[in-house]
Amino acid sequence: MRLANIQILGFLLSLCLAFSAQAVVVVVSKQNPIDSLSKNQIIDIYMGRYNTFPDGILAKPLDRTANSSEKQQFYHALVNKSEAKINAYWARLLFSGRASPPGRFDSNDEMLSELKRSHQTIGYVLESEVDDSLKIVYRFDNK
Amino acid sequence: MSKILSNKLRILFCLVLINILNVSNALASDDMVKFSGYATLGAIYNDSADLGFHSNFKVPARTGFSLAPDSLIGAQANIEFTPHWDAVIQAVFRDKLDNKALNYIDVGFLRYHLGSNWEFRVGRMNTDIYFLSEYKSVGYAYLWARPPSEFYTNVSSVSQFEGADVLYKRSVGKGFLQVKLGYGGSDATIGTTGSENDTNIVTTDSNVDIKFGDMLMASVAYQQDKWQIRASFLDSKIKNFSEDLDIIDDAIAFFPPTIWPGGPILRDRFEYRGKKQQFYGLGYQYDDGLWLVQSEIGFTHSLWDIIQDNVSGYISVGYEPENITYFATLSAIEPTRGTLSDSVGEISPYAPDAVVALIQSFSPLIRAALDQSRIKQHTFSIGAKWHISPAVVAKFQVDRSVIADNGFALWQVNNNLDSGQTVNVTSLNVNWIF
Repeated sequence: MRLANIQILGFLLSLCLAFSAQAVVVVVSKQNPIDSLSKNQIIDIYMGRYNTFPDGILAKPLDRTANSSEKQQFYHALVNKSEAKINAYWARLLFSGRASPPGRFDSNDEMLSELKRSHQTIGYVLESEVDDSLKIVYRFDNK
Repeated sequence: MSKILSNKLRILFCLVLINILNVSNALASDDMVKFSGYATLGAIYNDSADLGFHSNFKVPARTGFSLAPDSLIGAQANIEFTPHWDAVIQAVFRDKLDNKALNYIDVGFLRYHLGSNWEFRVGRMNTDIYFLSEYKSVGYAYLWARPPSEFYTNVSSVSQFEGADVLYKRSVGKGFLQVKLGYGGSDATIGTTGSENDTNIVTTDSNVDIKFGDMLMASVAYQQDKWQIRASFLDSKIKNFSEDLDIIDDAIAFFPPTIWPGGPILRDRFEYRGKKQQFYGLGYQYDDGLWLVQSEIGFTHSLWDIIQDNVSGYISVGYEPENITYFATLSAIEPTRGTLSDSVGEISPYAPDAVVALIQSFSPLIRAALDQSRIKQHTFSIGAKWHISPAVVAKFQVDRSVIADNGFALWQVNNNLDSGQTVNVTSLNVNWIF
């Protein structure tokens, strides 16, 4: 009986770990001097309010592919908006000439490659995708 | 002075265009030039043969079934020269009244970013006086088949300007504040209300060219989480108007002020040169993802009787349970100075009866001129917006407009009407971005 309880507990723990491993985190290149950002600062960059990091360096936000679960999860956590609302929002900003939307890529691999290549980029990835070339600057969980 | 400024702005605008064309190929490989676009394929059915519908004074009015009023295609290039300098050029191809190639360019400006908080622009820009100021052609980006006519059509002749503006933006509390100040001028070819057979003391043609100068505009917008508010102000001066006042000028020449003291006063009411107009706007928007509420109200004050004082506004509620947003809108516009006088003014008591009768005969012409620019109506609209794919939305909308007696100035009057009208306009359109 006790063994069964331990097995169930272990299963739940592994589920939790798996879930937390799939959490979306906001990252920059290791070369970027920024160590952390607030949620408002990420909103400023991803919603086209500012085109620089807080230290004044040009920021190039990158997006995951359209309709990906990561993109939907990110924008829901960031501004509580659906992808359709985000698309309409960016259409307004783009065609009013105010700002250009985050960079788009045909695949997530291309996006990850660009994220690691440039110190000006900022992106959101699954925590399991973070390696030595990337630096987590914000976590959505428990915030 | 303002003509010289306007010419300099045109030259600068052309230089920006040439610069953009020259560097675009070289920069394209570095992804510093980004091309994008939008389009609307829209059909309307206007059930009135007497009143032609248009959503913008600069486009021809239509009756019956038509693809012309809403269909358009826009192309845009964003050019980033350096982190501080960029340019945007946007061409929109649509049905319009003028035939000037340059007027297919809706937006073309050079911008300088000073730090994170300041932006300076020069060129041709949209006049930022209401929520949809800068993207009213982008059907994909808003809820309705088109912006509410009572509010947006009313100020459509000053929807763009050539000049300069400065934007200050910063985070304030949990929200974001934007303050904009601009100055410039604008030319527009607009359709008049009446048919070509109408006679009054001001207009005799179906289209007129109008030039606004000394346009000073200011706007403040604050956005926080689910809501945003905005306030705006526009002051402009009529510089030119292609129609003349020949009828009244001839009459004054024939009957000098000793006979008709009211003549010069009457002429001044219809004289356009230097006459100023002000627009004051307020807006509120709430969007929690399921419910959307948007409302704006505007006040127009004019010293020229041909542009009459009015108050206009709308409130729209949208509900978005899934991929489809259902919406209802009520919009209205009313004159605020009542019925303007059609009196010919003072006539000398010594004037012969025949002269008095002749001068009094101008009264119906004055009334016709005033009525031709009078707007009084309200519209109830219902519709739905369907997200077909991430880049495509379709919209269906039915507008029922109730127009008061002699309040037809948002429409093209094809036949003289003795009383108010009710008109239904049904719209179906597909909008996409690319």
